[in-house]
Amino acid sequence: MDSEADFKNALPAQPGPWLILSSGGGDGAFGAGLLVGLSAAGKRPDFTVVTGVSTGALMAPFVFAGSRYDEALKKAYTTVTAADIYEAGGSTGESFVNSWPLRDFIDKEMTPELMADIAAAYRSGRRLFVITTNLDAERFAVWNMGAIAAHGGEDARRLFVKVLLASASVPGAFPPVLIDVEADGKRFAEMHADGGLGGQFFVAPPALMATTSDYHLPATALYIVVNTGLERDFTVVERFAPSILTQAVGAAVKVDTRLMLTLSYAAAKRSDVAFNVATIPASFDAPSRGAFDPKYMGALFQTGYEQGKSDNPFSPEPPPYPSGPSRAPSHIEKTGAN
Amino acid sequence: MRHYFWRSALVALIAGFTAISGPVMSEPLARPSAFDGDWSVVIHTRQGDCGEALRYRVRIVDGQVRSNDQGYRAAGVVARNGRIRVMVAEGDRSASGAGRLVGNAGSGLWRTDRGDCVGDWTAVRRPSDW
Repeated sequence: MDSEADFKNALPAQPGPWLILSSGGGDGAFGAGLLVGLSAAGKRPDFTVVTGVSTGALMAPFVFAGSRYDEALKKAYTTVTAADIYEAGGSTGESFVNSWPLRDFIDKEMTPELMADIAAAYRSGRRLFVITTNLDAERFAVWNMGAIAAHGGEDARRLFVKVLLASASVPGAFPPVLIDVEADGKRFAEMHADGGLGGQFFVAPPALMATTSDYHLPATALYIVVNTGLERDFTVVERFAPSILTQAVGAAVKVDTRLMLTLSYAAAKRSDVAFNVATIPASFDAPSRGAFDPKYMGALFQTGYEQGKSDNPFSPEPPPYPSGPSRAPSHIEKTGAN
Repeated sequence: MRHYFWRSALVALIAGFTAISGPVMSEPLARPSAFDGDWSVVIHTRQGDCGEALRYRVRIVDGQVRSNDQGYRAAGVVARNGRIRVMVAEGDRSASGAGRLVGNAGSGLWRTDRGDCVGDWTAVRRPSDW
């Protein structure tokens, strides 16, 4: 979809609840747990629109296809390790690491059966949108994944996989994904990367979300799941490029997420749409032994699961901005340092 | 709280392409080896905080393990029978180990020289389209 008009035309005919799944890497375990917990409690809405960015894009197909995929969703976010996501050693020339393990993982999970269920949901009027960033054009791209699944065939499934991989490919860390397109009779490959470059989650195109816009979201409620901690954590950053980039991107993501929550809250109020947001509790402090640590992700999944089953899994307002100094890591508190 | 131990992870990754016991080659190859090429190695930490499982790309040229990353130093050799031993250093950390390659696969053990991480590894020959 290349325009605001395309987006409007692609929306369901009838308003309904929208589910918005944010970026967050391995912290996507929170959102996965929350949604499985909502299912277990029998109170997961029948979302008419599901959007996903980055890790949110990876979980979105399972959620969109229904609770029968909850076990697959849980497995994907509690058993994977870094070895299932990337291969380090020897940059590709485009990135620090190679993402072929993630590509193969997505390819394995996006089964013909799942594609068929997504296609059926699309034909029933529901919509699944995944966001990537077109680096060539400096603009985000909204992919109508249900329409791709409904097209059918192996080529469509492969495009589906490519879009998911692109949406989760942080530039610099993972190589971008080249997607073949055709325009004006010419074929070429567009370079797509992580959808989070254009915002950590997606409700509607920026022009429609702007505070100066009078666009009313055709939804009955927004349910935004934030898969990243929003607290400021104090960390002594190693003088090592990947460590510096990880910390810098993490800090920027928190700021961007808070700004987007503010914008979304304003758009919901303007549209007279109920606003709901779920965030990782500030009290969550399980240690991580590195990126995609299954024990850490399992603990975060469980935290989300319990929140999903609770009486109040969502808040009606964005979380308050933190005040005071950054949160100290637990190991410093224990040793009395700092 | 999230910690990303990139440095230790890199050391563990490379070190994992080694083993800590067993006979190693006594006759390093200085000519093309049957094991030359790119390998994808998965390092499993069984004890210590070096990451549960990490994957690393390793290149063998003329029977010598080559480092293609500026973040660490690596040196190792592969014998004709597939026995392999590698030493890796990065910053003030180092690791070592050994194991064996057979055909298009391999396995072995590894540990950091401080002894704070111990584990095993598996390897498969890496297709060019990875």
